[in-house]
Amino acid sequence: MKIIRVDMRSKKITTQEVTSAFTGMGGRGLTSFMINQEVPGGCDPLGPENKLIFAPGYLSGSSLVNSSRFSIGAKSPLTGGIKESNVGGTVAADLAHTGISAIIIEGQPEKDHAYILKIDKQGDAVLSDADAFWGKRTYALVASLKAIHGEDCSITCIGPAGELQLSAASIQSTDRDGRPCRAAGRGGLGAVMGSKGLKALIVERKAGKTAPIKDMEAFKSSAKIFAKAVLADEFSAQILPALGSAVLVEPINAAGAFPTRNARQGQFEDADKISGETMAQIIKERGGIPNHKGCSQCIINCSNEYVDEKGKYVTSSLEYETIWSMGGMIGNNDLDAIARLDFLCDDIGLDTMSTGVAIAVAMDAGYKPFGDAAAAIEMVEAVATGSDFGKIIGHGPKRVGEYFNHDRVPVIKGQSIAAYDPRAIHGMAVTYATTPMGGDHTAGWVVESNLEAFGGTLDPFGAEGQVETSRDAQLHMAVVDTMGICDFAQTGFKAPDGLENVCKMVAAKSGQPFSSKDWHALGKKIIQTELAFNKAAGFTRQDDRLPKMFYEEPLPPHNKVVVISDEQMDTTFNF
Amino acid sequence: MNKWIQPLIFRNPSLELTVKLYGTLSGPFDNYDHREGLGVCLAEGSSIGDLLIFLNLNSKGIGMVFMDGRPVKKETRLKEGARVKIFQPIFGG
Repeated sequence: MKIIRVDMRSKKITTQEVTSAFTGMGGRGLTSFMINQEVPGGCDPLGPENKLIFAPGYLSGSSLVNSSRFSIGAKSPLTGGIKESNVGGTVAADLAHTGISAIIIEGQPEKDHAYILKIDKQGDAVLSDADAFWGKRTYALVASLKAIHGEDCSITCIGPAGELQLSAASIQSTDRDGRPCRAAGRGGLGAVMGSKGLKALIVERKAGKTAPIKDMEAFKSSAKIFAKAVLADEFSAQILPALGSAVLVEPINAAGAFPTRNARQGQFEDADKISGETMAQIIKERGGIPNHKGCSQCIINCSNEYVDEKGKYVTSSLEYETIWSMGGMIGNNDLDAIARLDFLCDDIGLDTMSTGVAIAVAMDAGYKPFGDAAAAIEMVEAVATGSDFGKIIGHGPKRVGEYFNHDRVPVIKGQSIAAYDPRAIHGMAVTYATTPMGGDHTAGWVVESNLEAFGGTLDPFGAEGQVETSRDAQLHMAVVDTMGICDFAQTGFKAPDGLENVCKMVAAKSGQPFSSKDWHALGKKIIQTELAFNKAAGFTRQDDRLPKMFYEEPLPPHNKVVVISDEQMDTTFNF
Repeated sequence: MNKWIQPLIFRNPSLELTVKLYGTLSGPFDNYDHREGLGVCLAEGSSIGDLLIFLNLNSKGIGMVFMDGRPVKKETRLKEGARVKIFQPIFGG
């Protein structure tokens, strides 16, 4: 296994073998360890000292189902701390097939030139001039690059938002149909890629290959058990294929935890118009694809293709978080407008969550009325033009709040919350506040353990047990993100001795023993490393706090506020 | 309402409900239109649990059940004209 290092100043590309310190490591673990080791905490996230690191999950490229998550890490221009954002599609598997564990992009070009990095089937890297492609939106870019490089490749790229180095810029990556519709959305990593002058990473596909595995028989045996559990679970085998993650709209709204109109309410009265059930019905009626396979190795098919009234492609995949950020959060009940906004964000290279919340803050400040979908579309289009106001939106909700002198800004460490209001699901308050990633839901999703009807035992409005539950989830997810396993395939852990079964695959791949004890230890080590980086970047406990709106404004319909004390928050990572 | 279903034998059928089924729960109901939901008649005094049995959903994984916007339990009595929402368990991130 090797690491490719690209110096964007000298254009020198070097290849090195993975050192023993990083054996058994991939994805988030690898990016976070490397960033902590090589990037000064106090550096300018958009300067030459920062590094952008691409790493497929440790189990990516293998026969394991749903193992195609691709981690991208850097110091974030949005949070000022360490960031790992992962994306599906095909790139993780394609890169792992070449035997590459990570690509490190460092330095900065002396002049404003754009480049494309191409990894061929042998795993050799070439940097080429891309000035002709600078300025292109992602769909047009991918079409041009495919005309040159062929269909059999993964393209991971930025749009105008990344080029402009805006803090809500995403990195987009192609799905199985070759569309740049999958996003490493969070943390503004597209801006870091833009600051390196890197417009796209192209990885050639090597059909029929698998990543190197020491004990293939043992690996296959455990992989089968995992796949069987994913297919046996009703949620991953039936519900997600039918409705995708949008299935969450109605239950989270019914629980009063669906942040609406910049989190002024916990329920959106028009949730039924933008629900997963309604979306699936519309897609079917119009001849779209309600259950689409977006990522390599996927057996869940949670993706979809949303089409317009004439059956023409609008976007893929319309998901829960975007339906929230471009729907309820801005008071918009028009699913077609949400789909258009989703496409625009993918095309311009913007995080749909940060952008939707930025629009919500602008509307809350009185710039435009809530529910004005046309105004939302105008605001997103403005980002691509590079206008002054477009840049403010493209820098995310914090910058918008500063511009309007408006203090209702639902961000933690500069990054917006996701589609679960912490006042109605207290476990998410802990995750948002304490994860080293800034406001982030995937870092420790504890929704089901907070809702009794879903088997939860915690009081969603109380502090008891929330810190421990969030901590356990965060330590576990750090390793899931290291392995490259899709969040929705975590039903595979429900197999008998599910965690041990996954550990057997890690051991079979590396040839080294790896138990559930090692799994937990690795989770702790990753979080410790990320916290160490954030400390070096200047973070203190005061950064592990929610904005005061969550402590002071009761959220209808339950009219609760967050009651977890600062002292309790500070015990989350007391190791 | 596109479709009403009711038991063949019942006494004092005085409860008329609108039921919305979420996730994949509507699968067995032909022509279920989610925008309108399912019209159901049940005998007075019936509970949420009775409704689940009637719809043959009692053996399936059921998450939350809401009646007129409030979370309810299986033993909760149904009200005339109630709008009931039945959800499956969720998982995700």
